[in-house]
Amino acid sequence: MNISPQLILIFAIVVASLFVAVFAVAALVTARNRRIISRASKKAGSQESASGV
Amino acid sequence: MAAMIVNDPTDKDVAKAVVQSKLIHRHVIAIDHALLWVAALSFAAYFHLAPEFTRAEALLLSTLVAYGAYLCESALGTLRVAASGYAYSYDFRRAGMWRWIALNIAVNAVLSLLFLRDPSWVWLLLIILTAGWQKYMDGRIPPRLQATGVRILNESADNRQTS
Repeated sequence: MNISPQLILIFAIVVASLFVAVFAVAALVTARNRRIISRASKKAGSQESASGV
Repeated sequence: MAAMIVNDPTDKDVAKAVVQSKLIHRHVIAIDHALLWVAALSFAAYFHLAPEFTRAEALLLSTLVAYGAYLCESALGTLRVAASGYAYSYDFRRAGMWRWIALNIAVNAVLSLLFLRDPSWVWLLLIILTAGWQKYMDGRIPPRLQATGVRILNESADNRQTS
């Protein structure tokens, strides 16, 4: 096999870095969105209890 | 980014959050899964092709690469539950089996050192079984998380956001 092991290593490192970057962004966005939805539901709950529902 | 978190989210903020969560759940995690295994298999190929590793070292390292990918899959599975279950609140700390996973990593680290000291099939088999144990926990995490779910976004609000 003539392929250079270093080339495969570089490819693996690039793809692994991409995986970490995509995961980090997805995790941060998901955490932020869950906080937004949680705050909105608490706000809706407090408005309902204030109106006597 | 922390400063951008709204203290009083509007319906528009919630709608945007729902759309983003669905995009992450339906597409982004699948893309990330693919990237994970392309990277893992590339590393495994490197360890076998590079002349600086002995056969035993290449075998151990490629097995550990697969094991590392299983750990990353647990993280991806947790993220998938978090993204798809945007309408629910989950107890991630209690249901995530994090202490068991930490124990699993410690056991695998010890077995790997034992294998490097004495490349016997017994240690390799135990490493493989430890990876299997991790995969079992990986499958247990989503249903355990979902069992702690408490609905926080009512269905009419959810349908309104996505229409």
